[in-house]
Amino acid sequence: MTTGGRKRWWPALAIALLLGGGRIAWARPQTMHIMEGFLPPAWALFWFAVALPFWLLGFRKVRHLVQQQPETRLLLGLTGAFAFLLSALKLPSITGSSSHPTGTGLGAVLFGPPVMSVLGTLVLLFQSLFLAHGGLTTLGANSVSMAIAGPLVACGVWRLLRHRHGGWAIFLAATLASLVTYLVTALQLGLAYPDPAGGMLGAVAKFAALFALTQIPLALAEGLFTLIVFNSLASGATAELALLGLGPTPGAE
Amino acid sequence: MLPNINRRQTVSLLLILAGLLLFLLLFAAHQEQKGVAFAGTDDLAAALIKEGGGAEKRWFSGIGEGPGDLEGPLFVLQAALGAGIVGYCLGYLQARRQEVEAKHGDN
Repeated sequence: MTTGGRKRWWPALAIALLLGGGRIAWARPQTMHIMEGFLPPAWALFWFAVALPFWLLGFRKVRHLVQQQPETRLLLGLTGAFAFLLSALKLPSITGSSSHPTGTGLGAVLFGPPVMSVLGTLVLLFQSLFLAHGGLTTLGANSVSMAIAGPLVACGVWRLLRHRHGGWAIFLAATLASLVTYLVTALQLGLAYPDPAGGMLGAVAKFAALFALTQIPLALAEGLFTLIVFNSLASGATAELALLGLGPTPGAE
Repeated sequence: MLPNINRRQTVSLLLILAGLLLFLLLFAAHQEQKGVAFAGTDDLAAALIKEGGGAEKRWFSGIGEGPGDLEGPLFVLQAALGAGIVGYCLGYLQARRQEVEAKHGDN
C-alpha cells in the first residue's frame, strides 16, 4: 500500500508545479470572456433566459449522479477541475492576441452538456467573483458560449465519431468545443453591437475573425491534452466509464 | 470505441503538445520584443466596437474592486488548484488499476 500511496501524490504535485510555473511565466492578467457590464441589459437578460433551462436540468443530473451513482464523483470532480485548470491558462496565439482553452469537452463527453453547463458556470462564477474575469451580468452569455454551446458540439461530435475511432472523436470533440465557444461569443457580441456598415452579420464576421483565428492553436492544444487525459481514464476508470455508458462493463465478454 | 493509445503514442502526443505550447510562448516572446502586447481577445473586441462607432456602455462595473495586483497570482492559484486535483485523480486511478492488475497477476 505504501508503494501505491507514494505513486498517488507525485503526479498531482508534478502537474501542479509544471502548470503553475507555466502560468507564472505568462501571468499577464487580462480578460477573455465578455466583460462585466459589456452587454446591454436586454441582451444580458436574454442570455440568462437561454442558459436557465440548461442549469436547471444540469443541477438535476448532478444531484442524480451524486446520489444514485456515487462512484462517478471522482470523475465529476476531475471534470470540474479540468475546466478550472484550462480556463486559467491564458496563452498567446499567432494572431498577436491571447486567449484560453475552455476544458469543457472532457466533461461533455463523460457526463453530457447539462452537467457541463453547471460545472462550467461554476468556473465562470468563480472567475467573475474573485478575478474580475468575465462578469456577473454577462454570466448568462459566457455560460451559453463556454458551458453550453461548446459542450453541445463536443457531445455531438463524440456521438457521431465514437464508434469509428474513439481517439479522433475525443480530439475533435474537445477542439471544436473550444472553437465554437468563441464563435458563439462572436455571435453574442455581433448581435449586441451590429456594425454600422455590415449590420449584425458584418459584426459577427468581424468578431469571429478575431476570436476564432486566435483560438485555433489553443483549441488544437486543448484537443491533444483532452485526448491524453481521456485515454488515461479509459485505462484507469473503466468501471466508472461503464457506469456512464462509455465503455464495456469490466469483466464482461 | 474508447481511445486505446499506447505509451509510445502518448509520449508522442505529449511531445507534440509541448512543442505547440513552446512555439506559442517563443513566438509571443519574439513578438513582444517588437512591441506586440498580446491583449486579451475581449479587450480587442472592445476596440473593434469603438472602431465601428458602437459606444462601450458599461452599465455595471461589478461588485467592489477587482483583485488588482493579486489577479495574476490568483490565476496561478486557480491553475495550480485545478492541476493538483486533476493530477491527484489521474494518479489515484492509475495506482488503483496497477493494484488490481497486480492482484490478478498474483491470482
